[in-house]
Amino acid sequence: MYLNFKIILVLLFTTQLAWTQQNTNTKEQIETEQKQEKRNLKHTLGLSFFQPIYYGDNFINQAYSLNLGFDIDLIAYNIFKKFTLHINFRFNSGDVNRPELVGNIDSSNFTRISSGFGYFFQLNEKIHLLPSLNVGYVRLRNQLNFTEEISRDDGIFIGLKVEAVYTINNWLYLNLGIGNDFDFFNIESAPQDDAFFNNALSIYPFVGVKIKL
Amino acid sequence: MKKYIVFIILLILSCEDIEDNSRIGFDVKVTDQNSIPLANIDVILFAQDNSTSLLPITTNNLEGVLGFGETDANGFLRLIALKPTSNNDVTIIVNPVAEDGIFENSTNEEFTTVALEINEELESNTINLPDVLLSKIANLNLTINNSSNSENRIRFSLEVCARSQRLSLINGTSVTSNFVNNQLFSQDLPFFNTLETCLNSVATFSYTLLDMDDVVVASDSIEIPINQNSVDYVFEF
Repeated sequence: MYLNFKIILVLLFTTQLAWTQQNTNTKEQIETEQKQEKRNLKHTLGLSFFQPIYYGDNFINQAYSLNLGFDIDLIAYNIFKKFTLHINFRFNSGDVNRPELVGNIDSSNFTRISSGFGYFFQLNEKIHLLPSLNVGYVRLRNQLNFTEEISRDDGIFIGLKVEAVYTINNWLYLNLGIGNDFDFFNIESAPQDDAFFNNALSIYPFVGVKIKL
Repeated sequence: MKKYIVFIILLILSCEDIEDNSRIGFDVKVTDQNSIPLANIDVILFAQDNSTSLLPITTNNLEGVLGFGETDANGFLRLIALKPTSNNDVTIIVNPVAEDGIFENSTNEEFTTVALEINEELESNTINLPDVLLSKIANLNLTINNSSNSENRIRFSLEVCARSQRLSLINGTSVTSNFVNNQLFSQDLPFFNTLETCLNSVATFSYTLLDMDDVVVASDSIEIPINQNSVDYVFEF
């Protein structure tokens, strides 16, 4: 009888311990989830600096010397599962060093506005990878030599981009990556110059910061 | 109010000299009189219809420049330029006389300048040009002497190959000669003048001698071969 009582007491104590332990685990899990939730990205506003590098036989690669540019992007995370929505503005300038290939242009301002979708991969607690596809409008505002007159070239572009985003704290992120643009300009030219003016390919490595909105 | 807005918009639109999203291109080959290609010769495309006002090119008349470049070692240039609006004619100037520093080479002073006028519709965005021949520059030093000390006066004209030549590719007309006309009395003599002309060309000196009663004493035309860099020609009467 006494032995039975002792067994019941031990069982009760063990059960209590187990219950308490489980309770503690649940609390920690909730706290962890809450912390993770805080870390989860919602919307970010980013500023990056990039260096465009054109390649191939096109008028920008052959005639321009391009300067560093800046990129402002707005990203909405988790719009559907891990998909992201992107709105992007990019600006850089370039000086013409071979005017015989493009006309009497001294320098041009390159402006791009685009939007698109991405999908993010959480690599670890701090880093996620974000590839995206954008479609947009590109415009060259050309400042001419010897005159104040301005001319314009424009078109559309498709941009592929992949960036790694490092979480510094709850609201600040560091990003770096590389993009590839396929430009389709709308420039009328002599038949033998059509391909030279109407298609241009470029890559642009970039680095910047993002803040959580 | 609406009228003014429309007027301002029209004014702004009419000021545009250059078409957006458009280029014209052409090939040009530049040689000398011996068909030897000339390298580093400037070629300029202007959106102006009167090329005479473009020579010499100064910092004041550069507004109409649509494109410029220079020939390669083979005397060849593929020049792509901005396209003018349809109400602008086009002039291509090969080896322009320009102020120093305006273009990379500025003038190659050894050779003539050729301006090609084009006002055809540039719908194909291309211009077909003939090969351009530049002549070497030579100097003709003309002296007129009254060695007989007569009271006769002389009327003369001198036609030389022009330093700056103008060709219209529309109607085939060309201006390739310069004329100098003058009348000299005994007190104006001796007379000296130096003219730039083309090597391997012929200058024509035409004169009429008149006495005090305006009676023609003599009249003739003389051809002067320009066969060296500097030719001295002395006319005496």
